[in-house]
Amino acid sequence: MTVPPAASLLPHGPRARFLAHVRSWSARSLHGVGRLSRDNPYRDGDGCAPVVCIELGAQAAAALETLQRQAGGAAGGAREGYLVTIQDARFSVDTVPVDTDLDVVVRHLGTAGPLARYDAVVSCGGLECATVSMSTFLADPASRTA
Amino acid sequence: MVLLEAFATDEAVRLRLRVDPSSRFFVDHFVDAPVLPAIAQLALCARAARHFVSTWAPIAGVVGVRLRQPIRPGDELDLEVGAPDESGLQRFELRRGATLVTSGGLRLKAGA
Repeated sequence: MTVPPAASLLPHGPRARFLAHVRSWSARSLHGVGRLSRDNPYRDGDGCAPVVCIELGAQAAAALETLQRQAGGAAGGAREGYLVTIQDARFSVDTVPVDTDLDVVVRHLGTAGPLARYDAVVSCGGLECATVSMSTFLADPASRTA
Repeated sequence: MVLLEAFATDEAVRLRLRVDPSSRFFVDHFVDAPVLPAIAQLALCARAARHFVSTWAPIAGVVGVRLRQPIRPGDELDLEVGAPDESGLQRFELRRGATLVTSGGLRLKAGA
């Protein structure tokens, strides 16, 4: 499938965008590449706390949602969404490097109205950094209260 | 984050904070309706949780985190992080006034 630029799939501006590009996607999953800039606010010393993997997973989920919606014929680009639950996140590393490609694979497990559930795995150089189980809420574009 | 008050006992750390509107965490998240990212909240909780360990300890995981309300620039928050239970889990709650905004648990790496 054709993959648009990550910037067109996410509501985040460039300095908050961790998802660099999408390698491939299907109806239920997405494989992307993330990259943390050297000047991101989560940097501490040579790397970032591994909680950044949660955000990368959430951005991959948001990109998949946009692609699914567009493939279904719906109009519009990226919509704001929010993490509402992190059921479980486990970090296998103490820090995540900056300026290094990170692999992210997200699986869509199900949707109920504006809520969707995903699992994500983030790895770096073949080493697993984090696994995340999360739920997101897709904001109604007509409402900015969420 | 601007620390307004801090109080610690053997059971919990309690902080009162004001979310600095100029914080870098808000930049581009999102462009016209800034929201404090969940991971900024978790990083803050982990920092407070380290009060109970003698050395710097990396975060090992989080569990059962519920983000009920968005946190906006200028919000004033009360954070409470509990001491580790027998499994190492530390519960946390972020409140804005009487409203529970975010809650959950985290683990720091044992033996760090």
